[in-house]
Amino acid sequence: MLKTLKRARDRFFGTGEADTSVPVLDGALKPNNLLETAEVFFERPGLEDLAIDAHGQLYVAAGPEVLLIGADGRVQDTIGLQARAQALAVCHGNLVAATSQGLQFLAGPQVGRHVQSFGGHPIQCINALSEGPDGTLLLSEGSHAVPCDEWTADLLTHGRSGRVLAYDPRDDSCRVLAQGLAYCFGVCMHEDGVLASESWAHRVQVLRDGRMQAGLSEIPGYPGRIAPASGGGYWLSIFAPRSQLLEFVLREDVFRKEMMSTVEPRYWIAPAFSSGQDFLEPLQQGSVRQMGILKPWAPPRSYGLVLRLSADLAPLFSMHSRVGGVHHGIVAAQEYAGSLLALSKGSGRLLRLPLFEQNPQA
Amino acid sequence: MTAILELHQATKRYGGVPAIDSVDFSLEKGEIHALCGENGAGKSTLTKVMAGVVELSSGEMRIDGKPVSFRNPVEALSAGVAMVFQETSLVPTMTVGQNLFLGKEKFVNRLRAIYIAAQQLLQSLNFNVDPTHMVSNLGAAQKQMVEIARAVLHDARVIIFDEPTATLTPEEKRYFFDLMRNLKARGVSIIFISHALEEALELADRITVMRDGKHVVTDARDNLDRDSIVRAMVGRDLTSTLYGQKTTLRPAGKRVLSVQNLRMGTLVRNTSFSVFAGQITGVFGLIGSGRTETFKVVAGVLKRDYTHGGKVVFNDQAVRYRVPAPAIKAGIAYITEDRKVDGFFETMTSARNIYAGKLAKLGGRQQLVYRSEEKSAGAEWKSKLNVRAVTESAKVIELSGGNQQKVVIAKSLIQGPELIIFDEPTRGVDVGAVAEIHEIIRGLADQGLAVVVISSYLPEIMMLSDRILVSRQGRIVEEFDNTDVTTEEIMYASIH
Repeated sequence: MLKTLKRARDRFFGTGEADTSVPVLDGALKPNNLLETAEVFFERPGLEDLAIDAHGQLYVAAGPEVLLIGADGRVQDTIGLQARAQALAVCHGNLVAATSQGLQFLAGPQVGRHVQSFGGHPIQCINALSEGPDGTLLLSEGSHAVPCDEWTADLLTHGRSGRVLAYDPRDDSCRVLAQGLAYCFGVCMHEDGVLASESWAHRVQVLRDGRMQAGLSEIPGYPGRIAPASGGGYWLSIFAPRSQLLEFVLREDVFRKEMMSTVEPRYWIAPAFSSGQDFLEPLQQGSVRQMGILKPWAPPRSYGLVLRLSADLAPLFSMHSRVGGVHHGIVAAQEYAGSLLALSKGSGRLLRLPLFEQNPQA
Repeated sequence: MTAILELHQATKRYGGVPAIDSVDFSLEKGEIHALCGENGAGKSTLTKVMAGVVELSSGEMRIDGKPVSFRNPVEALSAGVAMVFQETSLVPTMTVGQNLFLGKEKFVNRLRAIYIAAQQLLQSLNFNVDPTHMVSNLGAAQKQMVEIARAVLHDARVIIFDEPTATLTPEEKRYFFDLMRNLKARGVSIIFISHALEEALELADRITVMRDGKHVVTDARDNLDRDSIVRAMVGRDLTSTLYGQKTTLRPAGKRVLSVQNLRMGTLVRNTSFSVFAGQITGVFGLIGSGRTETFKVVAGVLKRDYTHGGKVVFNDQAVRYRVPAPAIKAGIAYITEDRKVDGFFETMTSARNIYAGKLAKLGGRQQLVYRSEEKSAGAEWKSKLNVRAVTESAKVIELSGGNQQKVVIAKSLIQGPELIIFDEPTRGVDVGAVAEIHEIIRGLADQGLAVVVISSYLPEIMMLSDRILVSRQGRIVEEFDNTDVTTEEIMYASIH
């Protein structure tokens, strides 16, 4: 009863749940064009994730394949998958890929292993993998209810079924470390716990002693995969921006329901990995673009952003591909051979940037 | 040229302590004369003597060569000497027209005739002020315009301005300077007190510097420069301390404050920005750009829009302060731009004012007031911030502007804030105290506090800030790192 009254009050006053405000990109998040002007190291449609093994070899997941990429950016080897790749990692010597069919061990001691379910439930939405403690593999499951491809539906239905799992390939056991997350999209070991991106809640949480604690909150976008940085701290990819339009749509239940039932998913008012290619996209044509120029107030659907975080998760600086740019939808960022690779899912490009240790603009 | 107003061996004592001591001064017809000096140097006392606000203890004043002694400002005004005070002397509950004609009323007054005459006067001075508007609704710059118009209306031959440009925007200043030159061309003699030495050097024909109640130097503008004036004012060289751009920046710490899409009427319009710990965030903007109102909303002094007013996140908690008390309790201190109205209790001692800050933090939980605690807290903070008062029992109103400001700062610092917002921290403060206040502000950022400095004085912003936010038309429109930004870029962002 109280919750209903509070919700009604919030809807009237535009506060609490009904608040449509979004944090601003300033301070360490001040926009620049570093991602937009970055060197294109590799390009292929359907790029999804990347992994680097102990020998410094670079693997890239693209569609239903995992590619071994040489230092010159050429494909040296290809491994086929049963379905389209959703995540890739090298963990304790194993090259592991996640697909809608489960986990596939592609190389290493457990090569050939295929895990399709945990506890009788299929694992269809594993979107990030990371090396865990004691030989385990940390898994980020975006949603327990919908497959990875339908992530916008999970956002628009306020999905909260994300989980952090720890899988031990030695005895094929799996533990649920955290559940009920608003789309978990990224896990990484932290000094005294596990980091987990909770995309729809715009935050990175720290899992310590079985409890989720605040790490980095009020992120002006949807956080994705996390990778450790060589100088201490982390690289956090932000795969889409928040906007007031979207926050507004997220509180309008009736509108959203109708939109989802009557409009094609790619034309929903929802974040995207890339935008601006189709005139049928929401708020295209005269609304946001005139004479080929994007209006400055245009609500962005896609953006490119990588955050450099300190060891205590404070943003140090950021790299951007701004509205109107191409290198949007950054879903992974990792260090490779003295540089930073950022994977732009929106453009299907792997970008190479110098390894900045501090704000390159300062 | 002939002297219109002269002072010989002018001395004014308060309780045996001389505020001005054997001062010789002369003002020539049609001259603009700048009076410079630190707060407490005796400038205000000297001008108050001329305007009939206080009487001399000894010495002589002459107008047109004849000895005079004014017992009140009305006598001074009838002799052609008018003073425009730093603190406006207008009646806030009356209209602009009524204020202009206050003291010049006829037996029967027609409001319509007053407004017509007031409109003509204001238009002749090119002041964009509606004579029917209530003074309480005017901004500081417009109040200043009304004060000036009143002096002109009373046919003053000598007009004394006390810090006339402190509340004016750069454009308004240019306009004000033109007005002063026009008055000069009409044969009016002008004395103006200013802490902005550029103004004195640009505008004045002659400059007089005072220090510790004594006359130090009077010379033509061309024979003086900034350094020589500062040396005469403070007895040491402060130029390098006061001016210049930062070369190293403090790194940003935790995001302490995140303001998202904040709205408050037409003054704050969908503004968003962040403030970080361990940094000084400078906020520059012209008067009316909404910078003060934005931070007043953050500190609970003003309320944001009731519906869809945006969000303020302080230390990762969404907050909505309707009054300042919970904001103070949470760790937000707002140091007002108008210290005389909102900053302190003027009839209390500095120690009691500082202790009042502590009581405010406790929010009524402390029912008993301990005099010993008050005394020790006052002594501790006065020592930390170097607050100088003649006696322990001196009321705050009796202190110089710089020391008053330090009391206001101490009153906030005793609350142990995490975010401290300085609104025009050095307005009406002399150069010596400016340096000390700047040092206090830097020290707070070095201690890891999140510090915001709102200022319309660009050199101050450039020198203090690690990052600079520019406010325009109710929102933050630009952010600069204070390493390679120029004053032109900041000014451009604040106007265009």
